[in-house]
Amino acid sequence: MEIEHQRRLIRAVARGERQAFEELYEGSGSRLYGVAMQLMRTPERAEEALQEAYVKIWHNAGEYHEGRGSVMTWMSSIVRYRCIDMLRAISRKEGRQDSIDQDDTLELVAPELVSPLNPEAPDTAALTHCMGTLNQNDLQFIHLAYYQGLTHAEIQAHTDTPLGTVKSWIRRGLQRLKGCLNNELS
Amino acid sequence: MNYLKDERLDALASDYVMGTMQGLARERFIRLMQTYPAVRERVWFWEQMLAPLNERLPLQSPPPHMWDDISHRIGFTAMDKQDAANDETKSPWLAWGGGLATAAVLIMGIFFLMPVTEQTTLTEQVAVFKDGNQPLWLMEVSDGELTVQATSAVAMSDEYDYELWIVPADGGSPISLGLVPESGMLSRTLAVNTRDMAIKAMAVSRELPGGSVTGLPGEVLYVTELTIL
Repeated sequence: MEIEHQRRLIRAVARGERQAFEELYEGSGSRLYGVAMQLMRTPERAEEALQEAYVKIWHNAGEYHEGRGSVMTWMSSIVRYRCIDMLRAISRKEGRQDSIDQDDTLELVAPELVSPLNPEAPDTAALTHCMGTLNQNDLQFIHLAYYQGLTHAEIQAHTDTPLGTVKSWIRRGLQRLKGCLNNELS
Repeated sequence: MNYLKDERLDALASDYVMGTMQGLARERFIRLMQTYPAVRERVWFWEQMLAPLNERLPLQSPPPHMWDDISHRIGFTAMDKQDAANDETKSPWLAWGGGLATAAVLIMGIFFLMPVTEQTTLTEQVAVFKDGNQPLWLMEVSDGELTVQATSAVAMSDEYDYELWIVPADGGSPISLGLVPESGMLSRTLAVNTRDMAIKAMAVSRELPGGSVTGLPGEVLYVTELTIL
């Protein structure tokens, strides 16, 4: 969906126009459900997170402004934060520090399985290039955090890597990513 | 303030956006975001920086019932029934479904008890939230900037947060202006579409840490009217 069209829609949603909200949903639902499924891992949890996110989008449409990036970026962030809140709540409820099953450990730390799933997306060329400049450890930890919703402590537990190393590798990777993307986009 | 040192801020903002920050650290950082524009802007920067990661994920069609479920949660279904019944009062408060209706009815009751006053907009105004005669928050709006100053009388808690709401004069759903501080001062730019809105009252609600996730107020604690400067 074209960026300006989405901005027109979100302005209409802020005015309470339901038709615009439905159109926004139709144009974004598949993308945002993909984000929720990646983090929540089960349809039931992903559906719950997505529903809550869209309710928030409806009520907070007036808070969107161009400083937040595209409407899709803003909505994706709402979905991600809702998923992360739910993952943390699940962890607390189940009395464990990690929010994924032990059986998933090997799967999650296998680089080929945590690699992005759709590298052909047209708007991600710069990111794909820059991700390729990261070393394997940085890349793997960024994937575990961003795509699996793991905390530093969870990554530590699942990779048997010291906490300080986990933090520094992620931050180092992100700084390199930032530098590379700034170069690519300037 | 250490948090605002550039390198530190960058690290914290990226931790927050990545989702690796948790617990009290995350709550503290959310408060910093609410207080300092520079912190919010750095978070937005990282959200945009990492957004292409979302685009690399495969699209997945939500189940067919998803839109109906969302509509039901927001209250569209109830609103349609209300319209069909041609209710002359046509109050959206009554249209909210499920648990949201409780908050709506509570807040509606409060506003019915308030005297009808001239409708105002957020141009240049002040308001004071009080507990009895004890001022809690002083709120000022000027040139599109909202400033909220907490007094020492505000009860501080790690268990909940306070959230500020506009109650529109047209009877529409309350609109959140975000969390208000338990101490110190908050300054925030108002969304453009709230600046010329006709307002009946302002309200402060008690919410779980991080604020309302439904977009509607939880427990309404204080209500006040705006005074034009």
